[in-house]
Amino acid sequence: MAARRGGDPLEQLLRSDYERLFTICRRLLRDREAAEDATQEAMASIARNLARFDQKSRYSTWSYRIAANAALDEIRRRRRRPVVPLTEDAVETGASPGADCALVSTLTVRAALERIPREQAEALRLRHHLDLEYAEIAAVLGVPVGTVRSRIARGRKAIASLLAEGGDGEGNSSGWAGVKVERPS
Amino acid sequence: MTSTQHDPSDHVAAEVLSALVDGEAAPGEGERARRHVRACPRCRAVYEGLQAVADAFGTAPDPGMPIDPASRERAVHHAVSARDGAWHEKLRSRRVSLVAAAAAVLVIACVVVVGGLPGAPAPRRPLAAAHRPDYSGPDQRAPRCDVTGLSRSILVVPVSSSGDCLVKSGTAISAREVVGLTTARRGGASDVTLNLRPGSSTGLPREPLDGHGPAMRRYVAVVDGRILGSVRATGKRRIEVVVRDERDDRLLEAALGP
Repeated sequence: MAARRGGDPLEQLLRSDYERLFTICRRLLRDREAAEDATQEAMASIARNLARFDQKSRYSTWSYRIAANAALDEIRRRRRRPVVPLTEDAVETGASPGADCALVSTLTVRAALERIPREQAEALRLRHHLDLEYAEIAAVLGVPVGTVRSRIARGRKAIASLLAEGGDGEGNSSGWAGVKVERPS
Repeated sequence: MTSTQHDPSDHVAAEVLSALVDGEAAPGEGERARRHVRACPRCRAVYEGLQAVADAFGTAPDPGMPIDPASRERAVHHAVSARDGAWHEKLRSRRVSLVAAAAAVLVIACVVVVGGLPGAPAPRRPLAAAHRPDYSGPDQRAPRCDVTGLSRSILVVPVSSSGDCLVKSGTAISAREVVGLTTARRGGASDVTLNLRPGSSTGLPREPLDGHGPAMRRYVAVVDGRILGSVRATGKRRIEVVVRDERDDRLLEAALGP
């Protein structure tokens, strides 16, 4: 029966596609366990909906969107857990004005993403973690391109404000010189 | 153009500056924004702030992780189970539709039989006899059952006293559940025995199914909408089918066999 199972076209498709789907989830989630969970859900969704796939887009595009959305769903589930305060990242890593600015920036941005509105964080994750263009992000999220543009801009402004608050009052302690933007009115 | 010459209403919206960071500003819009940013310290500060946030994302290392084969197999198995579950859901929905359609036909038929057509004598022939298929010969076929969506599955359905397939009460068994299939040919017919994997269950009565047991109910085996033959007996994880046509047991093997 093992040979027969291996002969199922769906199984073959999903087995060969696993690495690509896992990579999408991994880049968005940055956590193995979460990425594996999201990939599993994405593949189940593909299996359930493959018969309804209308082939208006390529399979790779269609499944990409499903995987990205599965990862975003996983982020939403995890987001309900208590959020680590913005400054704790710096404390835990021993960050100081002399610490590696790139590492501090990464950690603080990750923490800041948890604090801005979900829609803005999702657009920013898709832009920066998956390197998607606005039109591609719009397709994944099912919203107009203009909405994506607006969410990304507002998300960046919000993060910049949070990072300025988390510094030494000057907005410069974590290598954030120049991150001085007007607060949203 | 200098910063001192700018009226606040001339400043570039942060949304445009953010799009400029991503190279997503419209051609004319981007060029105007770039010129303005070069001349306006306030907008330049905003632009640089947005650029710094974007750069911070760029510094996040890609956590390359090797694939875990066990996780991959779990995900594939989970997906195939999800597909099979969706099939069963589809079958349930088809069963409901089929029963509703059958009920509607029955009501209409009853009205015609009882009330009679205007100007025509009421038919005296019993309704059941008119639709009852004969399973006694190898060339006799019952009407097709509308279960063509179940590829790589066998459907075991009871036959009503009128000879109709009671799809609503049927049991769908997928190829994944079948671990053994043996065929014993005798004359024009074959005895096909399916054994299911541990943990599976036929969900059928464990008794002879020839219409003479306590259930007084016959079952037929259906693959891809084609009735292959009668189900002679079942156990918890065993089904014996009397297939009446050699071509059909090959169809069964192709659908379910290893």
